[in-house]
Amino acid sequence: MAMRELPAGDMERDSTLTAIYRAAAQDAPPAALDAAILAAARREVGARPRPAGLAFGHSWRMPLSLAAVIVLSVSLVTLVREEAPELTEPPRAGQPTADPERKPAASADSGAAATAPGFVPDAQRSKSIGLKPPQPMSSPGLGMRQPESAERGAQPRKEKLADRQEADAPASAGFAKRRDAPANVMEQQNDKRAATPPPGQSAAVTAPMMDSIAQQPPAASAASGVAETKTLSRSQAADSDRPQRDARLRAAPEPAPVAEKQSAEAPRTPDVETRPAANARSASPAVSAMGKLERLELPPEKWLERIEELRRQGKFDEAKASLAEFRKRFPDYRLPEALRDWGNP
Amino acid sequence: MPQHENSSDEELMQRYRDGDAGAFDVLYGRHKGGVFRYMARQCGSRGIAEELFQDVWMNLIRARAAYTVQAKFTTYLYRLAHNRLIDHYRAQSGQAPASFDDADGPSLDQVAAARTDDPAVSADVRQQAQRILQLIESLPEAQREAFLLQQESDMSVEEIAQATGVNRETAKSRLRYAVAKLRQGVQG
Repeated sequence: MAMRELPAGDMERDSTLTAIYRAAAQDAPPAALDAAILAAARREVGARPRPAGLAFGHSWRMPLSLAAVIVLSVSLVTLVREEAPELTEPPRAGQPTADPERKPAASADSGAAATAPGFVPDAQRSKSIGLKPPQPMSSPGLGMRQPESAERGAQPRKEKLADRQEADAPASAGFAKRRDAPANVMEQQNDKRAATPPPGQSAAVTAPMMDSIAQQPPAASAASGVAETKTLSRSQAADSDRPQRDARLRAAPEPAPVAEKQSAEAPRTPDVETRPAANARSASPAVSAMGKLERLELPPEKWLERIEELRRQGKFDEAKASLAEFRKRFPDYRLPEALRDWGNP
Repeated sequence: MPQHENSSDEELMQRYRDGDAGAFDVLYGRHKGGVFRYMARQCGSRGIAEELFQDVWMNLIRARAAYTVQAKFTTYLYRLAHNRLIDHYRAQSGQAPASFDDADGPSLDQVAAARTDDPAVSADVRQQAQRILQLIESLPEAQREAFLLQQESDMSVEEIAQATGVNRETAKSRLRYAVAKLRQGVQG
């Protein structure tokens, strides 16, 4: 056999063949294949080198995330404050609040005010006409700050808020006091200021309105209150949605004093202002009630400013009546020297 | 990667298993030529060889987590290559070549006949190189594989047996026949 002819110790390995083969075997895989395989190997262990752009993005990821969190937090806090300020705002310093000292005075107030001309506490009046008592002004900014068009769009949200307030109402025994609290009144006024004409015009417009309301007899006030309530209940189907009512009150009464002032003083854009004034006159009960509401919601400082304005205009009777009402409403308030002894019987 | 240069193949593969991509670079550099030539000689087409070559390394990469040192790394690597090659044969013709089933291989008479069928063997080394490649190509697949494994990865008969999944005697026989045929062919 030929097999026996092969060298015994060189059966499986031949150095000559190896040398020849090594000289012939120079093939190698292409570089692209090498790169692909090496890249796959790095991917498998997650050790591939990162491009420069990724490193940049990575370095900015943390600050950007922090900034986003801060912006979201601030937005959320702002939103919560607007939705439920009574939960977030502490009592204001220097303002009378519903503290224990205030309680007897407030109850005395309501007793006295019930007999005073032109004054019916909101809670009492609402109860007497079979309405739910007015809700505490837990969201002064909600109804006041929004324009009416926006208000219409935000109706479901307001209804939800009103429902929540209704649910809270029985539990909050002092809601009427909170309703009267000057802090809330101040906020309302601030909000109102944003929606009303410039300060000079606003004072000229609203002061006579206050006077006309102050001159109304109690019966008329009560009647106007009932009329107003009927109007509201008709339009809102017994819904005591506070922001909507406030917006309506704000929108309706203002043209009336403008007309009055126009008739007394120099003519001012008659075409624009007399027509709403006529409308306001035709709706005088509602207007008077709304004016009273506005006055009740005035902060003491603004009320006093208007009394001073009345005095400057020579309407001393109206000023005295308004001052008397102010004293009843804010018996503890320290009056300015000019008014301290003025108007006392 | 100087720290990897003196490491054994097995150590490098273990490091790669543990997440050291640099170890794989060294390992690949050591064995890419042998595996590629093994594939190129066995399948006869460079394009197919590249595809099979890539598959072998990708299989190694995917199997890294399960790697344990049970034999020489080259045995493990060429076992992967062998399996991929058998799959390729089966995909082409439905079965592995008959030579893989022939444990004892052809008789040495056939080897002598092969030598006489091709008398043009040059004394020139370059020509001899060309000649040996042709001779290798003419070998049955199993013998060719045994010879290539010996030449490309410096495997012993036992290691060839392990890599190809046969017993030692079969591997030895295949290698003997391959060497005898090539020697006869080169010497003319």
